[in-house]
Amino acid sequence: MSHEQILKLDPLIHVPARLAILSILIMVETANFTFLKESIGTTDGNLSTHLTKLETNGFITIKKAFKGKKPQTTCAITNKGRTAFTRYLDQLEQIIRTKKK
Amino acid sequence: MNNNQIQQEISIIKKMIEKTKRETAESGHFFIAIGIFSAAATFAIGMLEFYNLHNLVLPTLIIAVVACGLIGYLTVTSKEKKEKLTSYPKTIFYNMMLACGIPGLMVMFLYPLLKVYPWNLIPALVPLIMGIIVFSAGVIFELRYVKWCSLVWWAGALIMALTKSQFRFLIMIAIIIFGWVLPGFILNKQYKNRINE
Repeated sequence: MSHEQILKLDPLIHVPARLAILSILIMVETANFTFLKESIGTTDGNLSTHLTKLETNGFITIKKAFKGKKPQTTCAITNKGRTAFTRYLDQLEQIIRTKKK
Repeated sequence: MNNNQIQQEISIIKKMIEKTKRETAESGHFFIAIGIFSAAATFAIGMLEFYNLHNLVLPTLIIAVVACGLIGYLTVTSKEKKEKLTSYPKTIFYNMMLACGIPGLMVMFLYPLLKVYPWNLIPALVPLIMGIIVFSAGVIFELRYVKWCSLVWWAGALIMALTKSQFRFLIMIAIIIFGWVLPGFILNKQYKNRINE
């Protein structure tokens, strides 16, 4: 893989936890904090940091609400996040193709 | 970034997709619960007609439809409380159910009450809408066997239109079992397979 191609990869997604978050959110309308935490296998604090980073950059939206008496945090991917993730996959595919050659 | 890192990234994506698929699979309980209740209600209405208790048919039909709606609502909301994800297929499916439910009520109650057609045409018309629901469910949940079950409803609609026998409620029960309960079990099988993966 060329240095140029690595540079092209979005640094915001190029982190395992954030890649995992977006991989889940791209498939669903919303996912709650617990599901993300269980699936990724991370701590509350760590997940919060990654989610905030994605939210600050407009990749996801975070909503805090109550489901009955329990507080619940739900996340959803935005159009910007969807586009960025798709571009990231395209770039990854391109890198694999280049490597094969 | 070397080959291992690329493989690692791909495996993360795959793993998350699989986990999400498992979590969003439709259990089919909605179909099974409504189907069994509808079959029982149809049997009850058939029996009322058989024993010439015609004045009780409409109230029973109204109670059955309201109860079906309640069962559906409770099944969906109780699931939603436990669910950690909301998926597009389920949202589309429940909205499609609502979109078909309203014309269903018009066909079942409003038009006969307005004397657009006689009450005995209902069993020939409602299956047309039920077929659309089952077919759409097959498309939404990507299950071709469920799609085929819609044919049971459409063929059933034709049979119900041509049959005059007082025992035609038994045909309707068979249609409900093969056209509604069976898709529920197919969905449930897929759900269990995904959970056990």
